[in-house]
Amino acid sequence: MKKIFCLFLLLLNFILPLYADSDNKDRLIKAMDFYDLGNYNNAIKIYETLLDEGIVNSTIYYNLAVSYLKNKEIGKAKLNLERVLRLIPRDKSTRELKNYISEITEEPKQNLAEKIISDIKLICSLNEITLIMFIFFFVAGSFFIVYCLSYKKIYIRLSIAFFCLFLLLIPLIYMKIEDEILSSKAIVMDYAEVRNNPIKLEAPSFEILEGRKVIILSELGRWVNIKLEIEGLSGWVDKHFLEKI
Amino acid sequence: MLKILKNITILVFILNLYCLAYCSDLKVFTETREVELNKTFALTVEVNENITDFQLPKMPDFVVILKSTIKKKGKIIYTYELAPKEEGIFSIPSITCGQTTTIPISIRVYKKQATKGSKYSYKDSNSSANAVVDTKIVYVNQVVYYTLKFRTNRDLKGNPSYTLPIFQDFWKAESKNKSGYKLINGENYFTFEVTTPLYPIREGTVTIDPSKVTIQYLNSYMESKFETEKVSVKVLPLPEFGKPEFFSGSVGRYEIFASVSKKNLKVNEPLLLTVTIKGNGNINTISEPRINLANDIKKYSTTIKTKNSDFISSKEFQCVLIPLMDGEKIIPAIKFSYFDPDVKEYKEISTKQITINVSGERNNDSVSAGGSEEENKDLKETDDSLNKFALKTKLDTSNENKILIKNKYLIFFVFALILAMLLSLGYRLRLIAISKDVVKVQKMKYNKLFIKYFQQSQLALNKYIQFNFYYNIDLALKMLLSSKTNISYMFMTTEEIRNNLYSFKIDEQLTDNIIKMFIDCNKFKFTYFRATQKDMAVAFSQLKFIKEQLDKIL
Repeated sequence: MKKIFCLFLLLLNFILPLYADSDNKDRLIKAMDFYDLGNYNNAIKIYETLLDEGIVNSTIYYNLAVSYLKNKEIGKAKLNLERVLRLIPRDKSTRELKNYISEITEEPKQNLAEKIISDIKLICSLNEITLIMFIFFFVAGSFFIVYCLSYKKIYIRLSIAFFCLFLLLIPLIYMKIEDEILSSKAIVMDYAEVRNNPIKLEAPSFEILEGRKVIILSELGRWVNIKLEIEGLSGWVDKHFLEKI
Repeated sequence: MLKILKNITILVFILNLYCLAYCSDLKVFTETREVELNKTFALTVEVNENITDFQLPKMPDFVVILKSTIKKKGKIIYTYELAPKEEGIFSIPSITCGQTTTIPISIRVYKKQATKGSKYSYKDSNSSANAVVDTKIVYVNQVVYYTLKFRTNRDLKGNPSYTLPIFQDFWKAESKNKSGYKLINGENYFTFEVTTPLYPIREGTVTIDPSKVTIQYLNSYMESKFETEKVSVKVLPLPEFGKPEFFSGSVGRYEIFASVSKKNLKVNEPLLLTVTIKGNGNINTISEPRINLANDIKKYSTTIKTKNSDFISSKEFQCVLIPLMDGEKIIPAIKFSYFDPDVKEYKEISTKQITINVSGERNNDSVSAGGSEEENKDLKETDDSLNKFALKTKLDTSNENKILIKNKYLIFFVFALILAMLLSLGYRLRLIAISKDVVKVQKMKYNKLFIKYFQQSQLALNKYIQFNFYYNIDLALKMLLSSKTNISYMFMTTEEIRNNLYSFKIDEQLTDNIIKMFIDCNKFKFTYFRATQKDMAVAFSQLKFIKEQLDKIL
């Protein structure tokens, strides 16, 4: 009896995810139909529901970004697009869409050095670079162990070569970690006024348009200290204008 | 005399009545605008006696305690004690009571700094700090530039740090810094200037508190602190004569423009109206000008963009208008009035009247319909560029949120690999250390051979192969002795072995046992001397015994 019960549980374990997956696919098709009919709001609703259920998927984020863009919600489109770029940074259509939104949001052009750094960051995702580095480290370590046991010089040479490759990737992974884990970034959801101090009475020092990407320096109650990445300007803005990536 | 006194009393009484009639319902004032952290200050609120529902708004940045309530001359005076919770600039929000609303009050909370031996001074032999304003007499809301100037003829360790006063009676714009070297009286000075545009918010003589500058000279461990003198500005009220009806308090010199995104459109089609006000006054206080639109044009909320620059700033008011009916529609001239302090009179400026043509029913499918050919082309291009971004049709909902770098199994694997590397490195280092001791290495080799022959002899014993057994026992014994003495016994006679063992101070009985064993081995290696399995077992245990004894001695 116990065996049958265990088998039943095992079977459920396999069937339920399949059922959930087919249900999700149906919803994706529905969202595409809504989009084709020009009912972007309903398409957005379906994609947002899928994301609320804890699914993190680059296709859903991309489709959501396009739907928001069609709905003229630039801030939300940019937010979802940034999330796609973290998952699939080399995707051509995502990069094209990013350039298009940057033009709309009047983002200033990066200088050559900044452009090179941002292009390097988009070579691969954090997971990809982690995996590559792990493989290099594993191979270098394995060769080192073989060298210690056999004392043949070829193994130590191979180990050093792979270890050098591993070291070469450290700046890239550092940039990715700094960009995606250590520093907090956000997208401006609406036209916002930035002040020198966290006081509403003070005159705004500059404005930022919807869809601009900002770095969060600190938070104080409902005020957030932000910095514009390219211009280097910083100031305080109300929290409800921002959404973290 | 009595009559004069009586007249004065009546006059004072009438004046009091007059004051009571014209004074406002509510007055709020604080003891100070700057307070040290961990200290308290008083907030006084005066309300008319007939107002009973007065409530102080919530002030999350302060601990508020009601200290006293006094009824005096038809007013109730509430005195509160406020204790700030943290350092920073906080505001006491506006208080509304009856018809009156007070303006918010900014309070700067600072931490007391350790100022042992560092008193503020105005100047020393090398440096000086002072503060100036470009004009001493201004009108309310007219710009006055406050400049903090510092100069020194000595080298500094880093840039000077400065603290500007709170400017409590002014609306403050962004400060601009300027630094460089200047030749003054033949000496080269490093100069540092901070200019802040200020807009007075009340009339009367307004005093600006001192600014503070802190520097550290090169090769000096002490900080030098400077404090400027207080600066007074006389603020004149704006004249009442000729004040326009919708004057909003702007002082300076301004220009106004208006433009629309399209002039030909269809009913229900949105149109963007942009009104720009440019000028040298306080652009931040300018509110949206009144637009008197006809009932058949619907106006939506306005977006405001402010561009602040050194002298001429601008404010842009953008709103969406939707014509509800067709025909020729007019957006009337938009008026704006300001006070020009140069000519000391009010001026009224206005935009030109704008005419738009609204035609028939709107085609809902076409967003770009109605405008000029150029506008249509632009909008079409935008739409086309947007259309090239299609949805991705991949029906994949797999979760991609696993950040590999945080995966505990991966981290564990990396640590395990590092541990394995360290262990193998340890092994390699030990081998290297051992290989440097030649004697030890040789002994180890003999020991290895001993183990090999010992095992083979055990195998021969089990299978009862006499020759193999004694042959291996003989070799095992020689290797055992070699592993202890590092001498090869392979080709020695029994006598030579005996003498050699004596030289290692091995006792006689053990030596005899060893020699006896060699003799037995030579004897039984050949099959014509039969040995029983019991004999062989005894010989094997004898070998074990010899090893134990030699282990103890050598």
